[in-house]
Amino acid sequence: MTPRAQAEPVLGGVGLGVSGEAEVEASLVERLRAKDPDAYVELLKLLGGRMLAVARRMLNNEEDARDAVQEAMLACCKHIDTFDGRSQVGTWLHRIVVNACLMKRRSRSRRPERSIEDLLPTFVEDGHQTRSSSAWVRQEVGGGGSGDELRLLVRRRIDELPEGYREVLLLRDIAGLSTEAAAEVLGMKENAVKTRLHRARQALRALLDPAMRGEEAQ
Amino acid sequence: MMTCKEVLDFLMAYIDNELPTDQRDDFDRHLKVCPSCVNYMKSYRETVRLSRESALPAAGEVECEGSVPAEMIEAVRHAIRHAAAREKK
Repeated sequence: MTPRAQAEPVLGGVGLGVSGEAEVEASLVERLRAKDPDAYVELLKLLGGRMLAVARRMLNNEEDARDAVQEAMLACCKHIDTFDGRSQVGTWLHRIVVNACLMKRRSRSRRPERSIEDLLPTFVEDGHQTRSSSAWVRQEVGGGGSGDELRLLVRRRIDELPEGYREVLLLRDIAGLSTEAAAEVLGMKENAVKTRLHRARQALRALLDPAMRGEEAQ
Repeated sequence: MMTCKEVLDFLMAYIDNELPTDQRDDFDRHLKVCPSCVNYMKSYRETVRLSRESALPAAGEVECEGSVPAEMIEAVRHAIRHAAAREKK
């Protein structure tokens, strides 16, 4: 898979990707409702690769990602009667996987969090920035070792964000959910998701700033 | 004209093309005279790009989107069979 394709939202609004999709999906859903194990295996084979990609993005851990997808398949079986068919089964399953990943992240050991306010830009009375923003000078060199270094640095900094902000960033910028879908998963209003995402990005920018200005060793 | 604070507050809406025209024009006027906000906007965009790309596999990490490990398929088959049998009881 190309890096560009991987950077796109992974399962947002997709179907099963097979010909005669609507009929195939209807028949599959019927078998899922009947709790036919072969139907679940079929679903897993069709969408499991993409679900694993989402879980890997959110969890950065292969074992946790596999666990999350398995848990999502079981949740799918348990709640298939609540699937109303208004969305595609792939979209529905995507949300279940994202939820399973969030639960997994929340169950990981917690550590004291820094306040988001410490990471947001500050201003003087007339509205100017307290400290001018400098240009970022760090360049990626190809997709090799240095790209990996930067990627790992960004992951570490994302992990430093306060949980509520990290979750929104993961759902919107990494799992590729729409604002509406993220709001539904988190039980928040869409405007609150937008505000929180903006702050999460600002905070991540602040965390990356020293390294990207070339002032901090990796 | 907008202040730096307003520019940074409305930055996401600006990037997402959600600002009304007059506010967008005001935003652009500010950017023309404020290199600090231009730097901030560039680094904000870069942050979004980097966080999206952070999820790409680093060297040595597993990434085979098209395939599901055989043992996982068997584990799911077994778990679903078990769950279905339990429900029938």
